Amino acid sequence: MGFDVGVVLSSVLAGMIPRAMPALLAATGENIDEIGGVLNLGVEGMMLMGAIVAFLVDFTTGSVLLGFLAAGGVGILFSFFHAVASVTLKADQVVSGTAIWFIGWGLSGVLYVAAFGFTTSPVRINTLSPVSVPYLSNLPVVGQLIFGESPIFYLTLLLIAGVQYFLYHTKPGLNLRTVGENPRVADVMGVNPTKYRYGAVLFGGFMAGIGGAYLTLVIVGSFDYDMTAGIGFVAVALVLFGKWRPWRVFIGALVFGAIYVLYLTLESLLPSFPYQFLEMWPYLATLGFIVVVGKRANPPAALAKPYDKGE
Amino acid sequence: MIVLFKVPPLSGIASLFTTGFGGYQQLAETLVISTPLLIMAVGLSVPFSAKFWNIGGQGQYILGSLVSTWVGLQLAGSLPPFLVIIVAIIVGFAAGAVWAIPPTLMKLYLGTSEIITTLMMNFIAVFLLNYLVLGPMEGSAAKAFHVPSSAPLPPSDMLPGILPGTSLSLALVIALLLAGFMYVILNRTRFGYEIRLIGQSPDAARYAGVRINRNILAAMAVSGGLAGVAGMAQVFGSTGVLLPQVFSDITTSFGYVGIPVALIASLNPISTIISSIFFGGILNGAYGMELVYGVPVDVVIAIYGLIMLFALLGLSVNLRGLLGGLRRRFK
Amino acid sequence: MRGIVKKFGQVVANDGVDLELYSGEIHALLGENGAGKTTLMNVLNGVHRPDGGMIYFRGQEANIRSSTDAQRLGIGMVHQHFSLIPVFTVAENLVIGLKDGGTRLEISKVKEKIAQTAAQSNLVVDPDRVVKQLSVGEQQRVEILKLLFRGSQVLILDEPTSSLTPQEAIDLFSTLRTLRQGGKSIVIITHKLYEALDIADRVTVLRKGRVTLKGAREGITREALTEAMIGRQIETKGYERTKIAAANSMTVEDLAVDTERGRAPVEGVSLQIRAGEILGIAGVAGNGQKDLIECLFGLRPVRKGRILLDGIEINNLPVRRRLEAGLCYIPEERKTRAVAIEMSLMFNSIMHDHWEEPNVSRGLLNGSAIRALTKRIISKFNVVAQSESSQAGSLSGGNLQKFIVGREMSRNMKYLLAVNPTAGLDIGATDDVRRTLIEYRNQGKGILLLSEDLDELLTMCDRIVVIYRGRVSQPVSEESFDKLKIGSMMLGEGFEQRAVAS
Repeated sequence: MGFDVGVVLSSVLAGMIPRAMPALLAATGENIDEIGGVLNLGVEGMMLMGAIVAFLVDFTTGSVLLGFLAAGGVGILFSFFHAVASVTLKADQVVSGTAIWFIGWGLSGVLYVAAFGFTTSPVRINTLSPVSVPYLSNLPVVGQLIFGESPIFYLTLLLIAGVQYFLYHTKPGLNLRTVGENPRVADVMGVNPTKYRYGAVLFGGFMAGIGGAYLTLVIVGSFDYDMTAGIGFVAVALVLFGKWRPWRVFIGALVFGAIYVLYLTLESLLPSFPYQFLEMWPYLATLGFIVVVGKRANPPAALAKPYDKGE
Repeated sequence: MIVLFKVPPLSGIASLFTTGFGGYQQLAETLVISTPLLIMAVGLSVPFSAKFWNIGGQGQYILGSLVSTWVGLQLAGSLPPFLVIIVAIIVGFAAGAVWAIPPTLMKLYLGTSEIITTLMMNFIAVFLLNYLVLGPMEGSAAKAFHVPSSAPLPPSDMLPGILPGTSLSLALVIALLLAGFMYVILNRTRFGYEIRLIGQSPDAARYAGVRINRNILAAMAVSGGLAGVAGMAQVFGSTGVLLPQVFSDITTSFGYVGIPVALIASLNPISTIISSIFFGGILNGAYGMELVYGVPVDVVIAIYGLIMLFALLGLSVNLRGLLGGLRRRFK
Repeated sequence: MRGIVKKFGQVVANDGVDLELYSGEIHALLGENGAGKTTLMNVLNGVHRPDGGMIYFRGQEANIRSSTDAQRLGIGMVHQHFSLIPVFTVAENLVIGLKDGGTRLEISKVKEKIAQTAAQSNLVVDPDRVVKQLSVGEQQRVEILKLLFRGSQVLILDEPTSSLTPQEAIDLFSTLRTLRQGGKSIVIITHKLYEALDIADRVTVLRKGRVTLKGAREGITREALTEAMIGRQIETKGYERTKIAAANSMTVEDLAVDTERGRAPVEGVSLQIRAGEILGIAGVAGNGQKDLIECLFGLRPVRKGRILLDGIEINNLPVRRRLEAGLCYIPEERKTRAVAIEMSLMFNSIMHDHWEEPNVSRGLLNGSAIRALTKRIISKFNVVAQSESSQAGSLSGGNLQKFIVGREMSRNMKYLLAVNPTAGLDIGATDDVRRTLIEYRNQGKGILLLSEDLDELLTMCDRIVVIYRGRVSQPVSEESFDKLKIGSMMLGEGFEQRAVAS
């Protein structure tokens, strides 16, 4: 081989978490979404909107926190439309999600140009720097990897634990799961499917927005039209791969992050190898993910089916 | 968003339409854009009627344009032009169909979501295209001038124009014929019946002896194939060269735009003619908006999305559900 | 409940209904399908809001707007289709939507409470089992437990015995009696006369949305009930069945069919559907009958054995060829399996013939032939529909079923597989469908009738077999029809020996 395996391995480990984060954030949100029975394909568009809004807010105010919050807010706004269409108007969720995707896709590009004009080189901002947990981060290998990440990562771990607890150890979590399995039953038992579905969708939107913000504020530092490049859909695939269980989705995201970094690393190490084939790698991997899960997936029974009270 | 650019909204929308439709020249331009859209959307109406969501139109389109151009370049000069064109159509169809098959098989036999698999194929197709166009297929002129593209097709091998003074080509005629043909297939043949039945009720279809797998495979092959033909038509009818793609470039994303075009037309191939002209006109108009007001062309995909959303809402609002809910609340 | 009126569009489901319910009683709400019983109870339960009338609870006016309101008053209902989540455990199902303070889900506390409640009412159930794996009777117990969990004093049961074996029904009734001792009020919605006579203290009869009879059970005769339910004396003579001597049959020899995990595999099944005869299959739901029929139709592969149609083996024929060979099928769940509900009647009429002449000529669907066919079906089978282009979903249940039956009958039919063909239909439609089946039997067609209504089987069939755990009994001929005997066969009597022998 023409390169050092050790180098590759260490850069994979180092880079895997940041690269996994956008998909992980969006996937965790979509996980809740789908457990409640709503399929949201507009994640891609919401991530783009989150990215541009976070970028703009950070650019103007210099505050990363505001950027993230604004991104989450935009995500909520967009997912609100999806919720109205899917839950209240009982329209086809695939079509609604696709429409949101398109809107987010176009609008984000427009906003960028509106703010900066047609630039040839991207406008940059400072990315969020990682934080080191004292002492622990000095452990060899593992130290920097696990304990030297951006604070968002730690928050996300807490969030995932929270989601896990919510779903399986609280009553509202049980209710949400019921709504996703059979909204009629939920309704009969006094659980309001509309409220729960709205909540789930809005949460999913918030997370998608944050995921997009992570891309601009932490990884790249600028905005580009095709930043997300399908990551939103990878997130949907990750939920499937994780069989709707938060920690499994987390593992899947890490694997995806590792694969992504691998492609980037190999790209720089093998300049003569046509880079496009490497670029394909994450997408082939995603295909692989869902093939692996295949028929063993047991989705919430009422996924993507609108609930009509009159039935 | 129009407001963002300090454009008075009304005149902004108005200019959208005048650029798209006003005047003879503009209309022809619109039709040029609409042609591949029409072919694409007509193809999509088949799997969509079976509720099989083919989001991979873009990848199928790319493969079609790729392979047909390659073949066209190989055959240039050794065969009479009209033969080259016919071969290109066949090859374009085949390439698109082949690209559509793997995700279909995955769904039918492994149960994986066709939305995600077809979408992933799109990304892979883009990379494949870019690799080839920037590498083995790069045209010599392109290399010299650092403008990425493939070698151009000899003008004689392209689809002949049909209206002098415009860039309308035979592709439009092909598209219209295809639309009519698919209409008959969907509504008057056994295959079309079975496809529609699968979409309406897969259970009833099984109980009626319909072979779901075979039908869906055929539907996807047709859809992929037509997408491929759309790709071929774009190269052989307008551009003449193969260009590399960037994901977010709406002006080449016929595969994605085809989705709302087909849906808005309620999957009826004849209505798709109107729908594709409408969408094409808006895109054309968006070009104009960019020139005049500086609004980037990408606004158009947002507009498409909004159109989809409003159409969706419009359809749903007519349901008794909303009215019933209102009545109940105000009792 | 006083003067309850409930309309659905043009249909008046309840027309000024009065009902009184006392504590510590079992009250039977009797009526045929479509009389308005379920609607009335849904009003009480908060699922529907009445268009007119009042409800008084314990002397006070009660405004019940939702099932939560009803629950607060202590009213609960067990519907015909259970409201259980199959992938959850019993304990989880009981806790859904429970608002007893706190957001934490403490399963151990739940299990304690389950044990308590179960002890009080003699309902034994294992809280950790996943509902999917429970029998119908056990699931019903979970449903009742659900109501008790929420402190229900009034329990409404909708057609509770429809999917139970005779033995399970007896168990249920004894549970109800225990609950009655405890002061609960129980309403049973049923269309079975003998149930009302068996267990009720008081009876209310509905017909076409109105009360036709009510009072204490003791003073009421069977005939009075019948007349109140149907409006005339029922003709107790069965249907005219002529003797057919026919040699043809659809034969099944030693058939084995694989079923999904958790269900008994179908094995060693041999039976014969003779031309000009109706063969019935009796059995508790879930004993493999649906798998058997799916295999006969072609939707499940044959593992072992043979299926012969008029002497020709059809094991490996795909569904389409079996349809062509003269096999017809009336599935249950008509709205999803037998028709495409959003399409027109014309679209639906050719569903099982859409490749044949004259529907298809020169490769294209022949619109005028299809239209003519649809019109024929509509008129010949008394289907009430606006036109042949009406949406299938716009037809009432009874008319839709008549259309489906008519569609099959209009085909080239030799043998018919019918699953619960009269489920959920009112008496008029039920009678029409049964008459049609008998008529075709008399014309020499062979019919396999699978029904959960044992009475229907006893009335219609020439011979009956019982299916239990995937095995089929010897056929019982009409002369030896004995309801109790067949009922106990449904529970396994007579099957053990065969298992030992083979």
